[in-house]
Amino acid sequence: MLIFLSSCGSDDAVQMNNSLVFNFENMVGEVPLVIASQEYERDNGTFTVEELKYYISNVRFLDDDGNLLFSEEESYHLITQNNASNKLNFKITDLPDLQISTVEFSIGVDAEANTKLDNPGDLDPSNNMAWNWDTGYKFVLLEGKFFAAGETDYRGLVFHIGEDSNYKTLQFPVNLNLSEGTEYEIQMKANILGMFNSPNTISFNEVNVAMGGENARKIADNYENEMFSFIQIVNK
Amino acid sequence: MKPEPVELELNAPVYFGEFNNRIPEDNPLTEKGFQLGRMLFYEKKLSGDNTMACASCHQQKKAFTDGLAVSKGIDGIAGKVSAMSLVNMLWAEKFTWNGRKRSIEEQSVDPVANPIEMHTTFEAAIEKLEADGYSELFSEVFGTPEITEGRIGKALSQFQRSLISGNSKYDQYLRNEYQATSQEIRGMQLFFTHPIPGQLRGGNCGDCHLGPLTSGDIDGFQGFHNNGLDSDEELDAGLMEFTGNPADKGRFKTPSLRNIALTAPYMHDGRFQTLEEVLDHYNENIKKSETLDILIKEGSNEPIDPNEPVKLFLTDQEKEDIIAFLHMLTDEEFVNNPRFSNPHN
Repeated sequence: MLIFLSSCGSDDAVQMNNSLVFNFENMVGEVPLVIASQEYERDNGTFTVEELKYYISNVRFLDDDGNLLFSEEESYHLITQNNASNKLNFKITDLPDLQISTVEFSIGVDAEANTKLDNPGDLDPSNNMAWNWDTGYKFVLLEGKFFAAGETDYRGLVFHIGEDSNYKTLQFPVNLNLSEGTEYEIQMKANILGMFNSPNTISFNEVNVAMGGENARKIADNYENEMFSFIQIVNK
Repeated sequence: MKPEPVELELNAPVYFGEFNNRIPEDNPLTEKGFQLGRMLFYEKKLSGDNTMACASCHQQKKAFTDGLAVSKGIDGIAGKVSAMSLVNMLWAEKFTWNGRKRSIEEQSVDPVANPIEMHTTFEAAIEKLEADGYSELFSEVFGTPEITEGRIGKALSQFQRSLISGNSKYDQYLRNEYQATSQEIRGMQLFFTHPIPGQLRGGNCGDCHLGPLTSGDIDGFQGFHNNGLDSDEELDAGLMEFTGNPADKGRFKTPSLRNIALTAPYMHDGRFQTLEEVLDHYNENIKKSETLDILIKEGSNEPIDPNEPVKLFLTDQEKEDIIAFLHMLTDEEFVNNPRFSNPHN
């Protein structure tokens, strides 16, 4: 399932026993996301989050010169946090020895897989991220409630972001040496406020639903910008 | 000697998703198991007075429903909920309207002993099955002749897991075998679109009736929704009956809409007689309550004032288009498949 694109000088006895865990800590600003029961302040009101899901896909590692060292095949990982599930990590195993300078992954599903009928693994269409065959998958899903100032009834927060143009690729500089059976964990932070802050400020008072169109594009530009950040690498 | 089981291979559209990993390891599908399950499904001796079988309330011609708002058991006592269609159950994990059954095995045996359904005891039912020569069939399926409640549940589950509907006009359209009419295509797009006022017209169906299966999310109870049938005062308990959590009040299992044109009346209590009434409900008769699903609350083709009633603002034409799409989900092959019919005839 793995492709090698590196061409080291000596290829005898290549070790394939390294592994890397990606772990995503979902945050609301500086505090960990708690589903449903926790209210957070925003836009003069408060909000709760019922469900957060997003695809991390096409994980690749680059060397110091930006050359591709490794590219995971069928690389689609659905991160899920809701009342039923906490699936916040995935593991890539059987990695060769590598000196990695950049970790790259994308948010969403690439155009080729996005409208295919027979996708495997986390793209299984029965997982509530497939829309239909014209529009493909939801890339990022956030649902919750917004209690606006001065209103007795709450409004729903419904953000389903997809469409090929909202597929975003991110790169993070690291200094990571995989050799002789190392197992590292890459700890990432996913701050949901990053979906709504910069460069496009989204106020829940004005926009509490986005599925496609202009507001979805703005949110995608935001999650490309500052939703995801690197915390640290831990040697397990 | 234990007979060699013949594995039963199921055929399902690829876009339903993987399913072999959903078959429990302790109840693999075999042809003999399926056939035993089929016999039991149509076996009236599983009821107290030998008048009802599973198939009494789950009739193949009606996509395994009974055409009634709520079903009556052998004593003529009506239950509270409508018999659910049995279809594509491999892609479901919580069963019955309020989600209290975790497996098909567990669900399948429940009506047998339920006093308002088939109203017997397993002791009595098993005695009748033994007298009827079933022991040999159980031996062929399970290796030994004992008839037990667990084995009855397993065989019934094998039959029901095989009830796959994947050859409707909609499936044929997805496989490029059928040219959909322009109305059907409009309906399909409306069905799967969440409306955004001023930008996108949508029927707001596909947020809960997901993808080509048109059934609910299988992750935990995520596929259970309060779809605005009643106000807080009138609201049935739904999932809360099972979880005890007030946030689950009025949440019911999102059923598959496969063969929906054959399964009237509609909703957990069968309150709507026609698809037109269902569309009218979602379009203009949503009742607000504390647990009303946000996907309904925030679904409208016009800007919503939070203080006004929730309405979709579909046109009559759009409602008809969606109903045209719903008719595409009828699978004649499924409701006429002789493999699913009464083997005792």
